Amino acid sequence: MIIDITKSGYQKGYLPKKGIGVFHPFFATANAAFRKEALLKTGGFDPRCDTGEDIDLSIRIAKAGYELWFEPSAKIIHYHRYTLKGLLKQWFDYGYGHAYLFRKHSREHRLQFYRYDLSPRNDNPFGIACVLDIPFPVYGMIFLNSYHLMHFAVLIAFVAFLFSLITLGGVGLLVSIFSASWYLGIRFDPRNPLKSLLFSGIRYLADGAYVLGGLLGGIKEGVIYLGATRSRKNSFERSAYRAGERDQ
Amino acid sequence: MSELPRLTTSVVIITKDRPENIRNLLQSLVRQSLKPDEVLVIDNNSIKNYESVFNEFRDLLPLQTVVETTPGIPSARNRGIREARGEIILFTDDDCEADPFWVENMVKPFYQNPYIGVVGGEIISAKKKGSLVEEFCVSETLMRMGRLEDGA
Repeated sequence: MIIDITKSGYQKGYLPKKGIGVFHPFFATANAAFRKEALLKTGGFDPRCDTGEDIDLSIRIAKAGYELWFEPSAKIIHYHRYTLKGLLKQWFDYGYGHAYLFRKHSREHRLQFYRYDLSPRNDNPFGIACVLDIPFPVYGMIFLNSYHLMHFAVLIAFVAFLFSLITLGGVGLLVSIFSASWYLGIRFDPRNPLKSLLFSGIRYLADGAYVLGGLLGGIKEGVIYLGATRSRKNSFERSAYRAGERDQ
Repeated sequence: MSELPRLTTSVVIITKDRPENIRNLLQSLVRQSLKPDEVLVIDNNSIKNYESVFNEFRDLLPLQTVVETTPGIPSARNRGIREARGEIILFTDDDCEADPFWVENMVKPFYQNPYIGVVGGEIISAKKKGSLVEEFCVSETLMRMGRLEDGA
């Protein structure tokens, strides 16, 4: 029997030790090995993390001065067994848990707007870029990508039409159609149109669950978090960063 | 490398109500090129019974089992850290399987540099013939497509 396999896409070698906010290189605990001394020195996993305990620990271990090494030859095979409900719950939990991480690791009182960086550079291993950074009473991280844009634009169009602002409404509608097709276009596969559209639909629901989780988790933690999931096209893996090359 | 003192290893697995899945993982640990010094299974308060699975592997692996009653993965993992006796603690999940060279390749980088605190390996998402949602999960992380012959 043949099964499809996928890989994480990190490069072999040292990972960058500085993150952007809590966008920090980390290893999922499904396949991670720790020096026991590093675990004892950092106090191990934070029991307050519902999800993202692996991200939190990688941040603290890097801050304690240790290096993170990615070793692609050490392979673990993970069998997915999701139902749609399980998948959405997981993404909701991710959003919810990440809000706690933001509060824990980002203490600045700033409102920051981010977008995915479509032109990956060596100094931006995460493929995200801060486009606006202003002082604010609490910490806020707001993502702007096609998923958010299509909803904002629809909302603006709706309000504009309500007040008979036809031009603004029309622009809003056009922007939402454009961003929605961008969103669909990322996954669209002409060889498999129906399936790729269905996948976009699942992604749409998962994005919604993540955003909702982030907003609700943010309310609980006193931060503003309008999250975004990373799409396949503009991800860490596509970035030009090569951890191994940096040190050579 | 042979002049350095050997680092001891503990594989720590957190599990909850998946005795049938963990069998595959334990089987894959039996086949390791570098045998772990300890395989520590933390049962996070399962309802299902693991005894028959554990008994199957008692002679094949240096198996230790502990029940952690505090719910939640972080607490269970911290229990694993406290109980593990190895200098290198390897974590994986009960729905995974390890490549035969997993332990050996995970430990190697720690000899290179004493400041390496954590090593991460490749997580290969696999599906047998799954549902649309499972296919989606695999496709979303799809970067490089490969083929893996089952049992190879």
